[in-house]
Amino acid sequence: MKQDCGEGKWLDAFDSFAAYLNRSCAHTPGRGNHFLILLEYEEAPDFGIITDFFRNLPDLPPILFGKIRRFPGLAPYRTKGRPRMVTVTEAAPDETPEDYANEPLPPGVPFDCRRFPRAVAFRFSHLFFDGCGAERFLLKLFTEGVGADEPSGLLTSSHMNDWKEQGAAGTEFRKSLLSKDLPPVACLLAPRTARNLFFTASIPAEPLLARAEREAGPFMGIPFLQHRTVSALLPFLRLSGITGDIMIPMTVDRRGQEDHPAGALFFNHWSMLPVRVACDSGTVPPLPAFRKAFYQANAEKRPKMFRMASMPGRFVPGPVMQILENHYGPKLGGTFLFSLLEESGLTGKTVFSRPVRNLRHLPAMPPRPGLGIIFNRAGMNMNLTVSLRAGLFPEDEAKRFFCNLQAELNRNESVSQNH
Amino acid sequence: MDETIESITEQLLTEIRIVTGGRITPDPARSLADNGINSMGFMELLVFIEQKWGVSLVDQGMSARDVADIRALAARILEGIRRA
Repeated sequence: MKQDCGEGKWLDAFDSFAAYLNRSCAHTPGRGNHFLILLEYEEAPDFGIITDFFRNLPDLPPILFGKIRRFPGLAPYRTKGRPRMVTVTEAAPDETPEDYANEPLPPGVPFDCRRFPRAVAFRFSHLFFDGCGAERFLLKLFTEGVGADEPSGLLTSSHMNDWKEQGAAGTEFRKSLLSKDLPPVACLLAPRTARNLFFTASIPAEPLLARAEREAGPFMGIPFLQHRTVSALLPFLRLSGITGDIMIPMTVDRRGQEDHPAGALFFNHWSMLPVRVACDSGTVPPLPAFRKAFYQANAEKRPKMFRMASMPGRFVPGPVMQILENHYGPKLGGTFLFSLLEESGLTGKTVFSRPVRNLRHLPAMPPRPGLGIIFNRAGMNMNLTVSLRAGLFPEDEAKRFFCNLQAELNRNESVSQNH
Repeated sequence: MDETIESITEQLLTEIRIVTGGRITPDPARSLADNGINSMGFMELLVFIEQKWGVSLVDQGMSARDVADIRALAARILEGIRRA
């Protein structure tokens, strides 16, 4: 069902992805799965400069005005309303960006902003933005300006409402990922808590990517990083008695592909690329297995399938959906969420009259899979964020996993598994 | 039809235009990265190559030399066709 919100141009109220996030975050304060984009400085700009910037902003896209409406089982959607100001706050003396990330966004607010001594944090709602879109939004905001006529790039295609196509995609998806013949998926169980733990590091990007190319081949940074992550994670899964295939739901930016406009800002231009790697022997699969699985997932066009597959999710009442989710959820949720943003355009640029030193993503995780490994390149840095729902691991084990992953990424010896 | 480096290059250029959403006009003498291909785009290209010529570069493995420019990639595909 498409709704024309007048000035807002869209909406596709039955976006299954938004519905999934909405449902899975139903018990999260703010019912959202928000994330931070952190602009790091040598010394953060004055509070007054930031507030003045937003106070004097001439126009923001219509999507940032109005209210979010929700119905059980359906995607949230926006109805138009009055323009609202962007809230800017100053961090308390002992507060960290991680604390800010653990506060829910006020209902219906697309983003707000907080100043820290060495960073400015933007907190975005996943119901409006994905990480790529949020970066693009900030870039436009600070370099070109985002006007009221911004072609918001909200999905204009009708293919999401082509039931025949969706049914076919759903069938293919079940065959490839949910078949009863496939072994179980190794996954952790996140307790119902909204608090996330975050561990962050910055690794020199050039040597890491050179090693990825040497060991995995050109353009194979993603399978390389996934292999390293599984090498660090598998011992912890085994300690918890968790066996089965590794399934990595990976976020994919679809801008510039098919009918997704390259300059689109908002939420519904990303998808999942579920990568499944057989792990029945209990040892870390070799790197070529990750490369092959990544290729296979692309060849089957899983991002498109995933985006369209959940037709039942659009109609089935909540309790029935819950039964389906209990059955399929572990397989769909996967072992850990993975994301690599290959370049952040804001690094080195001047924002609020000061040069940005680094840009980092701090996403909160939905209950499934509850663990996210997020990489983003910002200039010379490859930033790593491990985000997990508190209680998924004991905190000291989570820290040990993070240290092991860092060690895997910094490991110097090169074991060629390319050919 | 027997493929040549030139004919493969032409078809790759067309596919790169599609993969990059028509944003750029690809230059055969430049690297794939310079032609707007990232890791996701490269995967799309590999799927196209296997479907078009039956050459699985993921299984055979590749080096940086093979993607130095689009002609180098065409030569690598031709080598794969002849090997099959």
